[in-house]
Amino acid sequence: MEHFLRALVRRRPIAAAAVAVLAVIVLAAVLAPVLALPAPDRFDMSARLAPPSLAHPFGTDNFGRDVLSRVVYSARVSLLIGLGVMVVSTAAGTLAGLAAGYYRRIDGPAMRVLDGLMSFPAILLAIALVAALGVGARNEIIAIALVYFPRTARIVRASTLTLKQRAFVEAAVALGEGDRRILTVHILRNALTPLIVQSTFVFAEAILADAALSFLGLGVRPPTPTWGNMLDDAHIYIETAPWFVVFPGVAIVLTVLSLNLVGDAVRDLADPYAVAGRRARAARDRRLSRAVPKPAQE
Amino acid sequence: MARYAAGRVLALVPVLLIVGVTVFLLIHLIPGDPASVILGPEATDTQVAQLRAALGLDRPLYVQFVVWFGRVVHGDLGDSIFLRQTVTRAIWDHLSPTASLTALAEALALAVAIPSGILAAWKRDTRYDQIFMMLVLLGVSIPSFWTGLNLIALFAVALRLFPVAGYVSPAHGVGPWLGSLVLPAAALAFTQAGLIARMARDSTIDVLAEDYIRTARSKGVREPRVLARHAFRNALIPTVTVVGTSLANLLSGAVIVETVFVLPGIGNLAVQSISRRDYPVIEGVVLLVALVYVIVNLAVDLLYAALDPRITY
Repeated sequence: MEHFLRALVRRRPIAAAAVAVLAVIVLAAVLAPVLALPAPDRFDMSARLAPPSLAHPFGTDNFGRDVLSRVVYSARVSLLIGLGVMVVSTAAGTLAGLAAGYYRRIDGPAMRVLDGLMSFPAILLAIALVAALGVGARNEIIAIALVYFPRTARIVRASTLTLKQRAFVEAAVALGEGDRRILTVHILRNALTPLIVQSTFVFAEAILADAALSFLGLGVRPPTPTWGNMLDDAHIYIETAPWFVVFPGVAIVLTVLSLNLVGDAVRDLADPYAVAGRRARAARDRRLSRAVPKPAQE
Repeated sequence: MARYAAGRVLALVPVLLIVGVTVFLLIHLIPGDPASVILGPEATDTQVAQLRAALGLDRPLYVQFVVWFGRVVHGDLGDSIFLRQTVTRAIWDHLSPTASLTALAEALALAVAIPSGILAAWKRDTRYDQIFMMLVLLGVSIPSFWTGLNLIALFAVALRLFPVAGYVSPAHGVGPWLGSLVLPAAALAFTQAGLIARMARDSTIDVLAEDYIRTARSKGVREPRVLARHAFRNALIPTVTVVGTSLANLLSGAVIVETVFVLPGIGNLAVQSISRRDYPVIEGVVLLVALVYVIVNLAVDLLYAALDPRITY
């Protein structure tokens, strides 16, 4: 971990900054009740839609509630939903991917089902599922996880198919080790990197999906604030109170962007082949550009 | 090629079946009895029983599925509970804004993404490339509806260049029609432009490393011509594959953006149907978009084979 963070700071300074941003967001969400913030649900009708000031750094909303406080409290809900989706879809995707990749008999039918599920545009399926299951944090997690787990399953399946052919797995089979031990110790443990990378992307996608669902009134309902339902409240005040629209959106973008940056960095840093390949390509390009000078630009 | 195409079309059958089962199960996932959920808490038992019979809910699940699937295959999606018209009719009435929006967004995304992606590949690892990659990442990290809200604040409220919301039918003139679509299309296009541009960049990088590019350069072909003639055309082939995916993403992204811009498209129809508990309409919209997605992807795969003579099946 320490080694990884050091490599991150040295080779991917922007991704390291993203880790710091995420840490701040997570800390703010966890510590929200002990931070010196006004209560997120305290009405102040005398200060409706007040612009940013010292008392309200992000301004106030249509009920005079403090936008900063509501953005911070929203993080608790949105991050929890993102985390929930990540855990559920990673668990389901890993199980399905391992089973499909390892047992040939399961592979065909399982892949057809996953292909079918992936034929639905992601957000639309989530919307329809929430509409059917009913609104609420738990149903929202189930709906979004159901949409994203086939992608994870495909990645795990691909790793499993390759690893199954490797000598150390064949040796384990020859030694009579049980399927469960082979799948967890020999296959899953060697397929962790792409799985971790995919999980960060699922986390990011889940936060975007949650924002869209809450914006449409299909996520966690007010008075509990989420970034999406804040934007739903805010969008009719776009002319009079732009800060009300800006800050929840910035919170979404910062969180999702940071997660994507971290995911990209983990993928690049953890894959020695990708780095070696990039170096080899760069070296070849340099050789070529010496051998064949680029014509002068026009 | 014909064999391959036939194979691909056949492979659609199980996928479409799964799609059908999923959409069908959606309405049966409703906790409790769908009929009483649809009618609300004040309904009498007789009314619930009538609706159950009308929806065929009193029959075994597999019978219901076979009946429903048979109707869907014939293009009959049932009747809307709220709108007093068939689902097919309701979708048809709302199709034009969505189709216009999706087409314009795709055109916009392609127009920006392909040139900028190729340029980024050519200027790889330079400042331009870094900024380009940041923008791509920003594109996939921004909720399109929030982009839309910002565009409204800037171009409709502050600069008054475009209407804040609403849809103008092309029958009232092409100018106003485009004007009503520019902001939502731009909001939608941003994310997809990022994905297409990244694909264009990556495939151009691969192509630029090919022997025929080196040959062209060593023959003394000028760099703009190398890019335009040798690199561009070959890099376009992998890029075509993401266009299919992006079209489907745009279509489903339209659901949310239409709500922001109050466009009377199928997305708006679906969202309103959710609050009206009009499940047949929701089913219909989801089914339609999934169908478009599957067909577009098939078309892209076939096109892929047609575009690249090296690919034989």
